[in-house]
Amino acid sequence: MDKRQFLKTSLGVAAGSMLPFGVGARTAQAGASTPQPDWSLGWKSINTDTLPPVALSLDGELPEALTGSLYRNGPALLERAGLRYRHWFDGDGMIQHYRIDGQRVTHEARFVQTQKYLEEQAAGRFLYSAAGTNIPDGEASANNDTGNVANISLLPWNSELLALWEGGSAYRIDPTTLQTLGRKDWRDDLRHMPFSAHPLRERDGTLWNFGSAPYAGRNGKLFVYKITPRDGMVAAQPVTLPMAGYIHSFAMTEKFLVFYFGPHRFTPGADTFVDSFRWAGSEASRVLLVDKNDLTSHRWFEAPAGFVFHCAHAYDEGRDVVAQMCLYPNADVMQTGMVELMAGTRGAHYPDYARARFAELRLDVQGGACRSTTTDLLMEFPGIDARFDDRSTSVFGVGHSDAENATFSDSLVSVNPQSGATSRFAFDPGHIVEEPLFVAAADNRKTSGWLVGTFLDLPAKQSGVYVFDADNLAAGPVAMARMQRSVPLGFHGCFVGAGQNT
Amino acid sequence: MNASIRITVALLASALFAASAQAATLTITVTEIEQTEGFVMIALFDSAAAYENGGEAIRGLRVAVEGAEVTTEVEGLEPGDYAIKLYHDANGNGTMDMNPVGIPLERYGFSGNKGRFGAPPFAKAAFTVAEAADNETLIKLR
Repeated sequence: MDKRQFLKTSLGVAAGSMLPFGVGARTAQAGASTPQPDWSLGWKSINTDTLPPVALSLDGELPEALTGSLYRNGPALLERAGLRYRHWFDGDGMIQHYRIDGQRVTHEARFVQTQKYLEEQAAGRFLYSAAGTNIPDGEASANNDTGNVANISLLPWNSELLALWEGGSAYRIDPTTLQTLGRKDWRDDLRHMPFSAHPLRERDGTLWNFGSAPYAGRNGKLFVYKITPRDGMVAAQPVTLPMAGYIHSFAMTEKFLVFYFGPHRFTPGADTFVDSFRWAGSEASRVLLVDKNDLTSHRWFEAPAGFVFHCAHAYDEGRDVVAQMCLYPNADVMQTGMVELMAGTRGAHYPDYARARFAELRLDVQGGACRSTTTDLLMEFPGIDARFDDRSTSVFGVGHSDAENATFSDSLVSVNPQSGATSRFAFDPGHIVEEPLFVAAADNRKTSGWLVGTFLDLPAKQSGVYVFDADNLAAGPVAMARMQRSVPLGFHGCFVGAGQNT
Repeated sequence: MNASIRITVALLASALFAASAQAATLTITVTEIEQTEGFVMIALFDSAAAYENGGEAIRGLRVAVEGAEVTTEVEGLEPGDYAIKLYHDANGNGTMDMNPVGIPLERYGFSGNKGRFGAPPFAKAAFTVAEAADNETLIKLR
């Protein structure tokens, strides 16, 4: 009997056979009458430049082959001089670095030293208006990078990490020291361009991304970027849009790039960038296909109104393009949900309007028809095993259980779109689960790979790392590592295997 | 911020011959220059209509950059309200370079140093030039 099995058996009697070690140990105290834990810990500001290295305590056994670095980015400095940001988008980006060596996990963190962060550190107060917060008597913004907080995601690129925002440039980060190396200017004439936090990579290393400028011209503009490791930015194709909307990510097939624009219209004149968006639910969503071999070739489709932060997987199938995404019924999650979370006023269940469901759009490329199928599966922060490019690959994400007092993401979920089979594991009450990253196993005999991510245990005030067998989610974590401190909830990250050249 | 800040050769020429018996002189100081090269291109407006709608400046000045600040004087102004748009033409190509979104790639400024994004309205950028006074305006590049 291995240690994991022993732990499950010894703790599992009272707690239920599906509950793993560690997690289950607390279940005995956490009954249905447990009051809602204080969610505000997830949005508690960090006001020191770094978090020094600490070792995490470990439950279970880390897979020996799982060695490398889990990097996470997210808004972490949320208030200065008595002023607290309104919106979750606003905080300065801090990079969390969890080193995993097969036996131990350590953690340290450092803020991205953006121009904004450095100036505001020196001033001791917020100087610049943020995406969702207007700073009274703030300084003027010179360009898109004045308020750049580099807080959404991280991309390994040419032996560095890029700390990604979406409104402006990425910042270059040293993956070992987490020191900021400067702004990433792909080309002199493309400085300060919007650059999304969700670039997608081809197998040959080519990187695709986009920049969304809903404020540019009458209907806003989208720029499609093609980047190669050798030549850098080789294309920045402008796309004329039928309406100025919000877009956060895209999807990619062998042939096409897929962009989903919900009817979330940019209407200039509001106090903040976020407040400039108005939900127009009586209008259709618009879906754009861009031909990867001819970036000037654009096909537009109409879909029922909906709102998307994150696309999952997409593939070509016969005459169709199928794109998977986490679909909200409307944009309330962005307009009010994220404000409530920051303010700490969301005390009960996360409201239904803010729940995304796994959905598929099927686009008839020649005929122009679009069919939308939304499942019942609650899912956000989707990820895939990118080694497969058809419908056979499972999609992983965070989900929401039906447990009383459940936090808004208390579960890991997966769905195989081909079979429709779903799998889930619900963490104990009080846990908030963050984005799972699929890490392929070098040796495929035991598992296709691991799901690695972070969690926040609200009652224990601890942050940590979970590791699951991607093929057996329901069995619970194979390892959980915790530290005696918490960090604010973040958005996205990346895993860089030991010896892997970023 | 738009093409109205561009200063034409014609305007520069008209500025040279504009001196008259009018009494008021304006001293313009531009600070926070980061690159010691090129020119500060200054457009002086005397009306909201011209300032806000891309109209012609009444004076255009091209001042060589030799340090972190430049100071220049405009003579022969009629007393009244004025506003300034300027940019640092660091590469000396006579144009304020922009990226494809229309965001300036060269630094710029407005009198009054107000405005969260782009040019503030004339009312916020305006300052008064009076006869027989030390009329000064300080503009920070952003």
